[in-house]
Amino acid sequence: MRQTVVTLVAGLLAGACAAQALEFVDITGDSGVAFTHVDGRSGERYFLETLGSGVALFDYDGDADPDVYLVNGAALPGFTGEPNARNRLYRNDGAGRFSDVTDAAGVGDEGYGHGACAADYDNDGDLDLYVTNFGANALYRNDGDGTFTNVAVAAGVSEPGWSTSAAFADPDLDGDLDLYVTSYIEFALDDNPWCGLREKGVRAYCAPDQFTGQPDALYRNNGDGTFTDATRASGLFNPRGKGLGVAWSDYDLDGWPDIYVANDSTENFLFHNLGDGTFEEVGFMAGVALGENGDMENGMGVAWGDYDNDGLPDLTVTNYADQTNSLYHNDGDGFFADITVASKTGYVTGPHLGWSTAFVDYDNDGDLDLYAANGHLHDNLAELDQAGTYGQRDLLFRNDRDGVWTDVADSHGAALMAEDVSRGAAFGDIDLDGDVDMVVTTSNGPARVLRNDGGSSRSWLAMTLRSANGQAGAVGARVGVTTDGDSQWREVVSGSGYLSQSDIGLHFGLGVAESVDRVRVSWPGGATEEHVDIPARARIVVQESKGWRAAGQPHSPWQAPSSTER
Amino acid sequence: MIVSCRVVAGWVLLPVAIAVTAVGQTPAQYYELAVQARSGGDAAQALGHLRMALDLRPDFPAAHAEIGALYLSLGRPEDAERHLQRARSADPSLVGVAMNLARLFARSDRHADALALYRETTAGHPDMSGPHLGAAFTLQALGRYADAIRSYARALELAPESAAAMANMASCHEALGDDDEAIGLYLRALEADGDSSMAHGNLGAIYRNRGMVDESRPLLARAVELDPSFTMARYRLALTLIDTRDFDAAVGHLERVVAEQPDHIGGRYNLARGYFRLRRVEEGRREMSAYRRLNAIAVELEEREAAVVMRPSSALKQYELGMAYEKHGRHGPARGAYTRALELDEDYADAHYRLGVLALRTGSAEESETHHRRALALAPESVGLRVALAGALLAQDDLAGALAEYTHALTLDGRNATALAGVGAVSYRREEWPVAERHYRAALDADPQAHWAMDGLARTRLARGGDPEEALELAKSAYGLVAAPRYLETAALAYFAMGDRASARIAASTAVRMDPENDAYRRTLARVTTAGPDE
Repeated sequence: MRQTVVTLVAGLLAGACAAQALEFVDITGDSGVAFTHVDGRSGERYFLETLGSGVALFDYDGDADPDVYLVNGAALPGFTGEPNARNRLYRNDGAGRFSDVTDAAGVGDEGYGHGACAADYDNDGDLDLYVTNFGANALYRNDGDGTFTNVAVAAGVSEPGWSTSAAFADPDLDGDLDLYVTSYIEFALDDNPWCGLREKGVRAYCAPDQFTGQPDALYRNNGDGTFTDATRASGLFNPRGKGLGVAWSDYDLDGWPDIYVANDSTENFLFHNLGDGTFEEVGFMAGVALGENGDMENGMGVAWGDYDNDGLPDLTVTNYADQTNSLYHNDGDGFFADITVASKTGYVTGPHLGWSTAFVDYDNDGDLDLYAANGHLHDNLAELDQAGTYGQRDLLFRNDRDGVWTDVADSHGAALMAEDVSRGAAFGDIDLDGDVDMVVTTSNGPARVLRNDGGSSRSWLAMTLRSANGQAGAVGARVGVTTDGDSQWREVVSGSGYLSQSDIGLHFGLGVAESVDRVRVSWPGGATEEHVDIPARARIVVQESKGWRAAGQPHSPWQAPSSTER
Repeated sequence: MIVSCRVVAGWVLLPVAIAVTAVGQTPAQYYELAVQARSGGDAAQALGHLRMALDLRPDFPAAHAEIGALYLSLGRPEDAERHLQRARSADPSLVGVAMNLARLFARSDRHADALALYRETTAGHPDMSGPHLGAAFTLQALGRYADAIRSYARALELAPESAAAMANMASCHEALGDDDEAIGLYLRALEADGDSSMAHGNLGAIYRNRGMVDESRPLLARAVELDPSFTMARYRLALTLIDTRDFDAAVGHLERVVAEQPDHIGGRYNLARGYFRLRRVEEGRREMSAYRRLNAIAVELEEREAAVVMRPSSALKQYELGMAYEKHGRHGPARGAYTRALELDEDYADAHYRLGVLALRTGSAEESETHHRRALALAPESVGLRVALAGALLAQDDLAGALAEYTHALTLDGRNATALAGVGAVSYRREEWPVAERHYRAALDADPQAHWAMDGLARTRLARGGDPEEALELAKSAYGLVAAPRYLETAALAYFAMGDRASARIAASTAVRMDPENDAYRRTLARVTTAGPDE
């Protein structure tokens, strides 16, 4: 007993010290990521300039560290800047230093880009890349040799409209990944309405309500490298939506992945997977379609995460300025409670215009914290007689575990206090030191790489998964890690936040625990495996039906699961 | 987050202190009896005594002041203003009269007049807090929060314990985004008056917005206890109950919120959610539909309002906003928007027309006529405007004028159903039954869906002693096209003529329920209810 007390106290002290020392450091300049987003502006205020772009952290070369893919805009009519804006892929050397491999990899799409997500859609063991554009999208098949081939047209997923976010999942549990693509509004460059204060001659970007929405799309994977548009057949066709964010999760734990879509100025959608190839929109009834007072908000980014470790994925949605970001607790039985106000996040987020967001355990204390990237879309707010600022700081909410969250950005380094025009954000341990770093994009500005220094003073466990059929990542797998009797749950997702994708691997903060009691993996399709005797502060690979072993050690033997259920 | 705050009206009808010494059938005695009756809650008797006093002494300032205050409390602002003005011109020193008059101005959106009167009163009585408070209320209503705060501060110098001043001042700080200052003032207001529902409710709302649910709930509950009609506090209280998943209690409060305020969008939304959580799915779906209907209206109005902000000098945008308001039954704001359209473009015929239509709907036939004449001057060939003018004249019993306009309209469009039915209506009023019937039939020939002509024809048939069953069918057809209470009244009269008094009562009472303010429907209900079997 005495020893336990001593250990706990020591752990708490260590935790407290770690929290004080933790800092996010802007290492962009030294990282090798030299990327500036170009929105193509010319003063004509084309609406698409406002959306910015996303970022994907994904290990394209299978060397166990996340690489960075950044999406760019392009020149618009009247643009006089540097004309050759294009997307960039930066290869990670494993220590958080990057080199530009865009040309070698062949992923420098020059369309007017917005989002990106990565997953192994062809089950060949490496991560492929999907890029959304205003115009035709790109599906970059990973050829396994450091190069990619754009197969979007042949695969049937080029989607000519205005696509924003995208996410892969396996909603029909047939072993291959389908693709959901959000579409925004009907817009044409040669039909660009004049919005703003006409009598003052102050032009502004239009509001989304002045445009007609575009229906999103679900592409069903045929298993042969091609996809079929299953939007209508699956009951997902809805032209009312103006989709910006999408994230999959099996929120009701029935084994079938469901979809949440954040819409700009219309109700958000929660599509419940009925398990027969169709979905039912249940957002209103579940309590996640609207703001607390029934307001149709301007949904931007979305993320799922079990912040209270009760096994049920909770939900957050970022919204426009003067609207709070929404935080919904999953109460079970298909219902959510809007805890935006009670969590004390609403009061803080209200003045900010939120974009990407993620539940992430930045301090490795064993619960998910919350990040929100912010920045206004009007760069002339004062001229428009509107309050607020174009550049805004991002928010980092620490989970206080009592249902309340505290914005702690100001105590974790100056980099988090920078007032930028953030849009996309992705999270992953880029320097492999055991804590979660991030890459944040800026609209019409440089992307930033923020390294987490000090988070790894607490314990952690990182893992990547692989399905029995060889699919890298095992999208949809659900993992529970138990330490000292407490469990926490994560789900492997492809595409989340806003236009972005975080590392497909899972990261668990373990607090003071220096060993893991149990890892329980629920694989897509229903098989469940349990593993014991996994060390803390480790990076492992878990493969369905085989077991686990240390990451980056392909010749080491698999440690078989301690139990398996089907 | 925008905080919905309640502003305590704070208006107090000021009694007019007059020494009454006379006894017997004198004006002073009637006045005294009136004061006693009013303090006993018998407004009708007070009114009778005051009328007697003024019959005997038309220049009795105190009686004018008292009857003005009485009318004000009875919601008869025009009568109130007439008497208060007479009292004031007879005795300008009556502070209470000035205050009541200013209050009346403020209530009828004549804020500039109200402010001028308050300022005049504060100049004459600088040590009275009431006029400062009144000015502050008015400034607050105008959205001039900083000015209102200064006036509240002055009022508080003179009456440091005024909880109403503190709470309203706090509300102004809230509106300016200074919640910390507001919290301090609400707490002070609660120290001064532990029963201030406004301070409890608004402070509770701020605390909840800050996520201080446990602190907010008792404040909101107390606000509702003190003032059960405090809808904002009740709604916020329901939200705190939802926070703790007490859906039964929350639904109880939310049901009352939407009963008191049927267009409360948040109330509808959360009530629907509450029903769903309680597995009362059908009720949830019903509320969800109500929410969606209300929300669509709100969205449309929001878009129109935004268009006005973007183009503030566009008469068209103001007009479109007025149309949107009118479409959703918000006639007051519609009138405001049309009026602003005319301020921007005095030759906006359509805005005059809509104002004329709205004026007629509220019984202001003369104002309606004025607008329609202005519109017609701008578009003299418009049949619709001419018919509308005729309608305004008909409402003023100017049968000759109405007939002339209807006839003029028919020279422009001989098959205009409204004009034909208008001639029928004039003829009906003149008891020229064959002419009326002929024109109503012509109107129906021109437009078989002309429900107003069906109704006119039905009434004409009844007046001529024709077949009541035919009249009943016409009334039913008219009601089938538009569910207007007038058509039910016609049906009631037809049933009555057929001897079916039970059906007549049902029809008449339904008409009264649909339009409780309509004296004619009430008279018809009384007639079909109380008439003897031979009638």
